[in-house]
Amino acid sequence: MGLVLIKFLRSTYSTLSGGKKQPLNLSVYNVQATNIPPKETLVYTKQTQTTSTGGGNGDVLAFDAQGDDEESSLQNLGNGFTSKLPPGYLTHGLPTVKDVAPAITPLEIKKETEVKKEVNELSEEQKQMIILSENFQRFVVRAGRVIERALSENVDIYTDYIGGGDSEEANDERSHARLSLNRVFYDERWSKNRCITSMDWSTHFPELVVGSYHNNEESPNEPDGVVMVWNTKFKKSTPEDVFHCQSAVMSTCFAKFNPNLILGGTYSGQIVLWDNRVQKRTPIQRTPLSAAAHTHPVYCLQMVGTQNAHNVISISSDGKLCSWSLDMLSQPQDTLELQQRQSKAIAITSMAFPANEINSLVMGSEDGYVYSASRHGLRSGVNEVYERHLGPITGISTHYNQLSPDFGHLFLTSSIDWTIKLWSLKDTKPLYSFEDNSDYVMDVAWSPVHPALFAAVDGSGRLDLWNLNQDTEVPIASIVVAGAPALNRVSWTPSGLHVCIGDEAGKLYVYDVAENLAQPSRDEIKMNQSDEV
Amino acid sequence: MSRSSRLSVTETQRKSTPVVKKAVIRSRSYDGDAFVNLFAHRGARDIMILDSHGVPLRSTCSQRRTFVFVSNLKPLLFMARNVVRDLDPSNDITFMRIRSNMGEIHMTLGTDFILIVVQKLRRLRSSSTS
Repeated sequence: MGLVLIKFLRSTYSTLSGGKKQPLNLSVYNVQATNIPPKETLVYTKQTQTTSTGGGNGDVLAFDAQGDDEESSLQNLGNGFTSKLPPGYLTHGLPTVKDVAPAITPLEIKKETEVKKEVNELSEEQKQMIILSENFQRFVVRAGRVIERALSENVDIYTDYIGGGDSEEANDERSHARLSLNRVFYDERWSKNRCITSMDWSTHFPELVVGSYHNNEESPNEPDGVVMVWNTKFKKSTPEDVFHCQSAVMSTCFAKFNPNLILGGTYSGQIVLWDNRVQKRTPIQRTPLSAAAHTHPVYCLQMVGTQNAHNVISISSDGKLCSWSLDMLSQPQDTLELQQRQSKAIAITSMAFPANEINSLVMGSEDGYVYSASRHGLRSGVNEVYERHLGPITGISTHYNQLSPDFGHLFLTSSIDWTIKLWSLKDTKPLYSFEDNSDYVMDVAWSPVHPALFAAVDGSGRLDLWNLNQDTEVPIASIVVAGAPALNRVSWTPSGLHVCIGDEAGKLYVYDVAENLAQPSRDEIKMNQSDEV
Repeated sequence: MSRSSRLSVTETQRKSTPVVKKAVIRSRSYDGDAFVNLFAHRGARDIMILDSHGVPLRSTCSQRRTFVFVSNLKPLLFMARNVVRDLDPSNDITFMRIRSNMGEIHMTLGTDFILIVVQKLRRLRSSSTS
């Protein structure tokens, strides 16, 4: 009611501003007294007019005489606004209460959906269907390899180097050693009791080495022949690929111009082809067992040629040389009978093509003789017979540098007669005989980067490095493999910094060669030239 | 935990064997069981394989533990995939690794399946450090 009275006073003030004589004021009083109820509604309208009344006050402020009274009225107006604001807030509060309900509902819905997601499971049968699908199996195999590489790389980025002096000393010790064991490749299931028969390095991925394994006599139910691809770059200890064959694999090599194909020569005489893109481990192709191809063990297998014209050359122990195309393994492109003068077959145990050579090759045989032969031309067949070893020849290796007139004609042979011999294609007598070994010398291999360096392994577990520039009587570095197993094969990495050897128990060792030993120095190159000249 | 993981591996094999016999003859090229055994032997604590929607298919640990891992890792995996996709729509995530003081989690993401390996952290020897 007080508020109403205040409003009446305001209206009187406005009328005062409108009129200029006192008798008019008296008449207005009478009129308002008679219309009290309808003016309550007018009160609401005047609330909106209150703002305009404020404007009116502004006009009234122009009159100096009535300024004081209006100031007091302004204060009342302010009080009126503040008194009415709380009701406004209350009216706004109600909608907020209403908003809370819809806000909670979607939260509950979300919770329900989350619960549904968690509960969403597949039945056992559905799981089995997915697990047995080919897609799942392929993913497990590939993801497993990725995880193994990640897990085996124990690179600790939190290594504390403040105490790193010890590791530095260890590095110094390593640098002093000329031959140090890097790692051993061994698989409990596939490598056990299997002699490593050959090794080869991939040209597309220089860190991959393939090894072929003989049969495990203690497990007659397992496949006789096994081939495994190992990764020397990562620290994982399982093979990248495992392939097997029903016959023992005596030789293997990567298909030089195809990163996915691996070839193997078997004991039965077949040549088999594996593809690591295919999910299975058995060969995808194989040559026939017929008189047109090999019927004896294939100890020699190699790819020769260029990107657009390459062949697989295989020689079996009955002296038969076959040339194959990878696109057609059903019959050989060309065959050649390697015979002596009296038409007697030669039992070839090892062969080597000089680098970038596709026609002429050198071979070692069981009777100890070394032969050179040509595949084509007027003189196809055996060309030269070199003076013999006293025992079967186990390994043969040609010099890597075929362009040099000083080294291109050199090759090495190892034999069961405990010797390694250095030959020249131009002479049938050996240039030199290395007689430091005291057991069968099973393999020999030139370094691919050092012209005077080669490695040899023997049956007592010894790995020797020879440097013809430093000493021809004793090797410059020699090491006995732990456990002294009979070593069967040796090969160099393409970089020439590691030696890879395989033993008769299925272990494949990688040895680091000291860099000052593996790399030729300028003096050595000059000395080489002067010596040869 | 290694013992329990080995036991769970054995249980997984035993559970799966009869169903396999009834349903499909297992292909020899499939190395899943060997893979699981290998990792359990090498110190991996737990191995889980999920489908692309995050539903667990195989696991070497208990169901409850699997759900704990999956419920925590699934949002992270999907967000990581979305990050890679948003930065370059033609790109896709392949591998994630979470490294902590006591262990690490490796996640291999394929188009159809997700492989999670939880690994204990081994302290490196000085020789291996060199």
